[in-house]
Amino acid sequence: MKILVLQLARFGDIYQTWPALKSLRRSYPEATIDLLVRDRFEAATRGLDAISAARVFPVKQILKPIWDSDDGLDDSLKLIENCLSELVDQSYDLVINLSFSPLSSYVTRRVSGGDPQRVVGYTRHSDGFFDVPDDTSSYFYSQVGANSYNRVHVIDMFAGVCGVELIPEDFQSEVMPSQSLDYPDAIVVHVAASEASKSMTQQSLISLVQGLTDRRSNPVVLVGGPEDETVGSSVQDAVSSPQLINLVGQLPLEDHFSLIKNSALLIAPDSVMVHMASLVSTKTLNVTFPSVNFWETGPLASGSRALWYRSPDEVDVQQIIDQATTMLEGQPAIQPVILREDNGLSRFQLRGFRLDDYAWQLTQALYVGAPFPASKRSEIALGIQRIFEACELAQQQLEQVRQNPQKGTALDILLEADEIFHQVARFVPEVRPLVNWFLTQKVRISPAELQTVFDQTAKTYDELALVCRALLAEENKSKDYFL
Amino acid sequence: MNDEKARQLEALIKKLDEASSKMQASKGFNKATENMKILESIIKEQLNHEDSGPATRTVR
Repeated sequence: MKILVLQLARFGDIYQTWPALKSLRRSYPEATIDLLVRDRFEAATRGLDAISAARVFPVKQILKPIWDSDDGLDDSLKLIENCLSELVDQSYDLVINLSFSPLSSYVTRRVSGGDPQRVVGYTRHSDGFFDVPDDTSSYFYSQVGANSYNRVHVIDMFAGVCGVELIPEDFQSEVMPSQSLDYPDAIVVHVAASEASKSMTQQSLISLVQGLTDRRSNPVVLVGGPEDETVGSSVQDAVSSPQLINLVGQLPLEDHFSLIKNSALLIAPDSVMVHMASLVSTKTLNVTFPSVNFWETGPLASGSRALWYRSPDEVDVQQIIDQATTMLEGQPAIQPVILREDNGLSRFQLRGFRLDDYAWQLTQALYVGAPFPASKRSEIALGIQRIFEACELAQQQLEQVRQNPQKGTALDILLEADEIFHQVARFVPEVRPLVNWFLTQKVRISPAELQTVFDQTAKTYDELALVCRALLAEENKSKDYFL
Repeated sequence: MNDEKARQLEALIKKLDEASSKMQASKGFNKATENMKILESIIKEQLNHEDSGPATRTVR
């Protein structure tokens, strides 16, 4: 058995793929399991003993001819062909795409030879049209992202695409460091995430580190990549404390495993270090912002917590220090806080937040057969009513097309119905899970004979009508908003 | 990436899109069009039009 897993995203995504790969290895102990990553992020495969080999998709090399010259296009295309040919020659029995990107969908199709029996994850049909064959990837396509209502963690979705179950051992990685890193009981602080919108401001960071060194006796170790060295130096210059150790830019990525594993606590923004801490079961205090969805990428080690702020400018440093202190001393959390506690399909519990659960309940009704919810809010009920009316209009037009396939007006009205769905989702975001679910069901219709495509399209509208009726019935039970 | 390079890459995306559409129309979806779509996707990722991570999904 030869399996290729594609993870063409970034460091954090590769680390979040580790548990699924460990589980995959348990399922296929004798198999060849190769992992394809982009060249720039290969370091995140070091120490991953579940795979047979890390293969590299050479983006930098492919781009070089067109960076260097105006007529480098053919050379770049040849490099792509060479890379793909090498992968095709490996004759993989199964190709699992965990990347969720256009690039990966094309690569998956080529390496699998277009055989649907050999593919899981985003791929392409024989005519190049996007194909999302499995339910988990379809869920990802519809419902996942920074502004979504999804509450399933990415690590669980990766496992779902691979068709494996995760166990606690999948979160216990042993990666030997290249140097001695002995800072017992340290508080490790990651100074920056990959983007400013995910990072604390420099002033907040300085105040945080100053506060930690003033209040605690633990060593405080600063970490980050070479690109963060200026930030690390600024903090070191501003905070004069013998407890402070600045390792920013000094460690190979994989050495952070050992450092974090031996530490008492990691404090980090939405960054790769959070995912590394999850893999060595180190308690983490995650400072999170709306630029990511913490439900999807929050810290998974037992006892971890997250503090949510609207923006880096609104970070309350004292709140972080107080919460960190309670975590180090084993005290109850200070609210409001996000706790790492299993909660149905999600990995977190909220304490001290007021959160409307309707969209998440709707999502669960659509995907796992949970009861259809009642919003008890007139705007949501009206939104569903509008979708239902547009759906009925579309069903009427489909009937017209069935009777007269040449009827162009009916096809135009069908497109208009889809536009109404989009508009309702814009005005009433809570119904977005329903609209996205429906539109994805349409995307999943494969190229086929016209009659088959027609029948499948009609079926998706019928399903939408059924769901709308069920939702409207729930609304009716609670209040007659729209009658 | 400077503005001039970004403009060149935008032009290249357009060129690749047109070339792959033309080729697909005449010869169907084949290895050559697939390679063009792959290069187009790589360049779009560089220009942040697309992201491979969970944060954004623009697959069509």
